[in-house]
Amino acid sequence: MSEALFGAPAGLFQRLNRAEVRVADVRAAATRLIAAGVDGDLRIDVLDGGRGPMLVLDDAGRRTRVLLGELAVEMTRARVAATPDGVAAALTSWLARRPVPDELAAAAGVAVLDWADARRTALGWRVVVHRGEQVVPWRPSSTATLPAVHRTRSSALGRAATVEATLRISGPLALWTSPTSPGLDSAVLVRPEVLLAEMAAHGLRPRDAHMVVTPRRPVACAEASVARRLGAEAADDCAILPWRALADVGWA
Amino acid sequence: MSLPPALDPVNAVLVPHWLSAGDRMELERAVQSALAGGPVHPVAAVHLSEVLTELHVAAAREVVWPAPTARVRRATGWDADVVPVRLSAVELASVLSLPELAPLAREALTGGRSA
Repeated sequence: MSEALFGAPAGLFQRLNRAEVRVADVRAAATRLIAAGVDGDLRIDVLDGGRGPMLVLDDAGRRTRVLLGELAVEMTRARVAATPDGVAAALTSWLARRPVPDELAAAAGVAVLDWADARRTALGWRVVVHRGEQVVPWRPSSTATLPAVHRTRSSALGRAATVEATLRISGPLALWTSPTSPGLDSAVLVRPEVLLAEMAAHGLRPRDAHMVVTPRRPVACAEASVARRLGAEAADDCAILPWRALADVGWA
Repeated sequence: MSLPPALDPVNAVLVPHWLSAGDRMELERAVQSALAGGPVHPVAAVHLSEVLTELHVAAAREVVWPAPTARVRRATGWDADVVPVRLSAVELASVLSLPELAPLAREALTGGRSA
């Protein structure tokens, strides 16, 4: 889930608007956010460090520090409106995507397929958690031990196997959607043999089953030529991989 | 023997035709009745069955990536059942050669939103 901090740059009209977000704007937004209170175990502070003021998050023991100047530059680059409301909304959305604590990932993480590289060519498994409406990826903190990372990943795979998915047949195509947990659709791929069995139960027995996978979107399965046709004109990046290759997908 | 490149729908250029639910149903009916009816040239039969596949693929695209088509519909004011059906030139020609294709669907494929 490699994205720009505040989403893709806005359209051409927005680019003509050259308002700059300043450190003071971000600081004011952070102060108001702290005063308003934030959810759960999250603690926010603004500290003055040697390189300038920093936003310090403490989320159930996972500490994250970021320079306010860095946030301001990223907000300007993403054409965030330099108004109190604009900056506050951007800061809130940044907070919603803050790093996931290791304990939370161990307790509630689900394994889904995600892009393993910035160029979106290879897929890998990633542990994600639900935070409000969003699905946020977990990256092990610097203090996470290797056995703990393995335990978290294996329980996430176990939870992925319990994610409910609805099968829809559209001619030669099978589509799996997760109606209860949007964004977790690719969790169904932890049990690829069940997918083929479900398709066979509906009379669909592709000779050379290929999966069309777009992270956080429903998963499609069909014969190679049909899968290529579906993926050829895909608006989002998608990966087309043979059913057998699912067993070899590593961690992103 | 490998198939000539024109038969591979992925290598051919697929052009979107924006068809309503009614147009797509008529297209499916016409193609199915042509395939079930009298003798069809084997190459034409391949193209026609690709058209049937594309109708299903178009529906699947709406499930997997609904956002881009929704943007086009918002910008153009088309109805919610209008989706792009992407056909190669030979597939379009094979459909237009069906005499029983209703004029409305023929119009949707050649003029109107596809023009």
